[in-house]
Parts: sequence; C-alpha cells; structure tokens
Amino acid sequence: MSPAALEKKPPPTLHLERASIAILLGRESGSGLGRLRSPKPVTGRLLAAANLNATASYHQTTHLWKPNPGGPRTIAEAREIAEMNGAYIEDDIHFIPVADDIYDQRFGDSYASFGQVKAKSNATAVPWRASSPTTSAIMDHTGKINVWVRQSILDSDQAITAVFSHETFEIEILREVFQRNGGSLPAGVYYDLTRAGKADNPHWQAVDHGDELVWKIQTGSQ
Amino acid sequence: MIPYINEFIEMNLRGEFQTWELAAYVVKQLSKSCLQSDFDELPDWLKAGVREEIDSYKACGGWIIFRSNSEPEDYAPYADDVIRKFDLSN
Repeated sequence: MSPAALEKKPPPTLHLERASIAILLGRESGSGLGRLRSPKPVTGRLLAAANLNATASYHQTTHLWKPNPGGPRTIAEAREIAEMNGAYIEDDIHFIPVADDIYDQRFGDSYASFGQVKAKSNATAVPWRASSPTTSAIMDHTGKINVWVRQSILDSDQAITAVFSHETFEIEILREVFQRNGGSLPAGVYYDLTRAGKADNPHWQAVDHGDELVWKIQTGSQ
Repeated sequence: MIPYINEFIEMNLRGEFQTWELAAYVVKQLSKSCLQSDFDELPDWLKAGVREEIDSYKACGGWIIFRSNSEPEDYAPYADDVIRKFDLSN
C-alpha cells in the first residue's frame, strides 16, 4: 500500500452540519439490520436507481460483499484494506474481532458496535472519555475507542470496507458533536445520533459512506 | 455455567471489555437461566464488579445500556431478578 493511501483525511465536518439539521428536523425511515451470511431484507430511501447508489439506515451493498478466496483477514490487514479503499481511521480506534456466536450473545445481530455506555435514563450525561475503568463512555479510560466487529465481516474485503468505514465515519462525527457540547451528551441524544431509522443522522450518513466506498471498489473507481 | 463467560473474561483481561460491561453481561445471564453456583464460581474481582453494578442500580434506580447499532436495553428487570433470586454476598 502506498503511503498516500494511508494519509489521514480531515474529519467529515460537512456531514456534521447535515446531521445537525436532520436531527432538528427529526426525519425518520428504515428498518432491521442483517448479518453478513444471512442478510435480512434492507429498506430505506433509495436515490435514483439509475446510478445504483442508495441512502438508508442499512447497508444497501450487502449483495456485493463477496467472501475472499484467501479466507478471512486479520484485523491489521482489514484496517489497511479499509484505509486503502478510502476509510478514515484515527489511531485511537481499536477494532476487536468477536466470534459470531459470542457477538450474537452480547451485541445482537449488527455487524459491529461501539460506544457501549450505561445510563440511568435518556437524560444521563454520557461522557466522551471515561475517567476511570468503572466509568462508561465512548472512549475508555486508556484513550481507546473499542469497536467490536463480527468475525465473519473479516471474510470479505467489501464487508470490511463497508463496516470499518461506517463505524469510523460515525465515530468522527460523534467526536466533533461531543467536543462541541463540552465533552458529553445526554444518553437520549447519543442514541438519536447513532440509531437506525433516523434519516440523515450520523449513523445514516455512515451507512451511505460505507456503501459509497463499496460501490467504488465495484466500479473500479477507487 | 454462564454462556461464553471465559471468553468475555479473556476480553476483559485484554482491555477489550470493561469490568462494568462484563458485570452487566453477568447480571443479564444470571437473570435469564443461571444458578447460584454460576455466580459463586466467578472470580472474586468479577463478583465484586457485579455487586458494584447492582449497588449502583439500587442507588440511582435506573440502568439502561446504550450502544451503536442496537436499541437501548433496560437492565432494571435483570437487576431486580438477580436481587430477588441470588445471594451476592459470597
């Protein structure tokens, strides 16, 4: 991989403004996530079908997530592949592969998850960074942002690109929103920013970003 | 035995799963179908973690877990179940 491919790009601030507007507008759409090996039907707001692009709460490119002939990638390889395909990944992001059966047990049927926090209610302040091992926050007390990834995602370079770029894109928007809000957000607001089914929120934009990178691989325009 | 407990403990030891997260997982599993012996067999530090989370819940009266790509999950019913059915003092 060339050094240029690994060069960090600026965080997606323009998308933040779109997200903020959408949050104020409260537009909603979308439904359930699927797994790499058994994707559920996807729904969402499709753009012009002619360009095969899409925008939604759920990935629209899962049919392009082909298993690698050489088998699964390591996390280090996956990170490089995602970056090579256009993902922006900060150094403090720590991807953790989790066997599918264990992932199901703890994280449900998503492809990846981050930002696990506990709160008394929607009004509880969620900090960006934990002050101690017993505090919950988006970033742990050592300065790492853990992203738990379903192991089977590592079977496909397209899935890796979609999922890694999705999660990191979303994290970078959140990083800025938290920063602008003094380092914390009410749990309910955090949920609104990251939940599926809310049009143009950071999660929605991250899905679009991940799918866009997969389409670039598909069309050879990367 | 609590499902996958050894794997989650290993993740905790590698810094990939905080103790509060592990304690929450234990509370949920205990409430679902586990036995007193499943709690008693846990390492002391994890039992302490469970007690700490339960005490925190008792003190504030709410316990919801949020994470990306999931709906928020209310842990209060799990915690109430564990408080009612388990002796956490050992």
